[in-house]
Amino acid sequence: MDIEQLLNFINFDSFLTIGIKLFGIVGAIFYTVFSIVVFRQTQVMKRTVEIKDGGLLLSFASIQCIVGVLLVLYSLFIL
Amino acid sequence: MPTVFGKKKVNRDASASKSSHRFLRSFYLYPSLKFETQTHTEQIVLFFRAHPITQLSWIITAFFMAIAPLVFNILLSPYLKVRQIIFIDLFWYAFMGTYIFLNILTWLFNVGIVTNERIVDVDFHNVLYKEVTASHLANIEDVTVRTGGFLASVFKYGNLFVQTAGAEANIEFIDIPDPTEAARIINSLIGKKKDGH
Repeated sequence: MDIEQLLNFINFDSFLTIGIKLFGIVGAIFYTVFSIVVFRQTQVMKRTVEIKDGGLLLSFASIQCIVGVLLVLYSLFIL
Repeated sequence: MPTVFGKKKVNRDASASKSSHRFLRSFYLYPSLKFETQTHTEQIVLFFRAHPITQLSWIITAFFMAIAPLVFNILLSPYLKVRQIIFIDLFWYAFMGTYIFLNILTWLFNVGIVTNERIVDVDFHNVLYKEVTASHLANIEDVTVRTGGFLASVFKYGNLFVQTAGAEANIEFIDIPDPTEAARIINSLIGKKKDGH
């Protein structure tokens, strides 16, 4: 591989693609971990003060965790 | 025996009292709710959280967050692939959903509870840190109401400061609906407690 080929390989588009992919994977993993923490904390909150929400809050917290996992999968295999 | 709080007649007998709420469920009288440290003899008289109008700032922010992708999709489309733009949009809306959810949780669970025995302040700082402050009615020395500002006057909300005796921490309730009535109820309960009822 000569210098010209190397410069063609390391172009702006490649950097951008790799950057977005890395950002996507790391961001999605952080989001998933944070969603799990929020889910746990929602349980703690509901124990502290029992409000009648019909399970809506925990459902929404669960949806966030699922979305987090989907984002990780998307960033790994599609992005 | 019914007791009069302002214009409303409120019965303190648990079996006979009727639960009511105002200000979009941010001000409850005799709610059928429970909290973690509640004792068997304790009955919730008043339960409140911040006035809903004080939540307007994050609702407006969320609205602008919801429409932001319409702008940056157009700006980014020449430089990014479709799958990358879809991911950024998904990530953005997931982030926005979390932002809304955390604000709803903060509003719902940062509450003040007045029971027939004590006052409890439940605070969750940044959702992750929990702080529960309680003071017995007998230890309360002073209840101060502070209201001010255009919105507070129009929508009838303000701050309530409860000063306690001794080593017990003072309690603050910020932006609660109808703080004057809350103070009146607390003072009435204190009076009743000191009279030995």
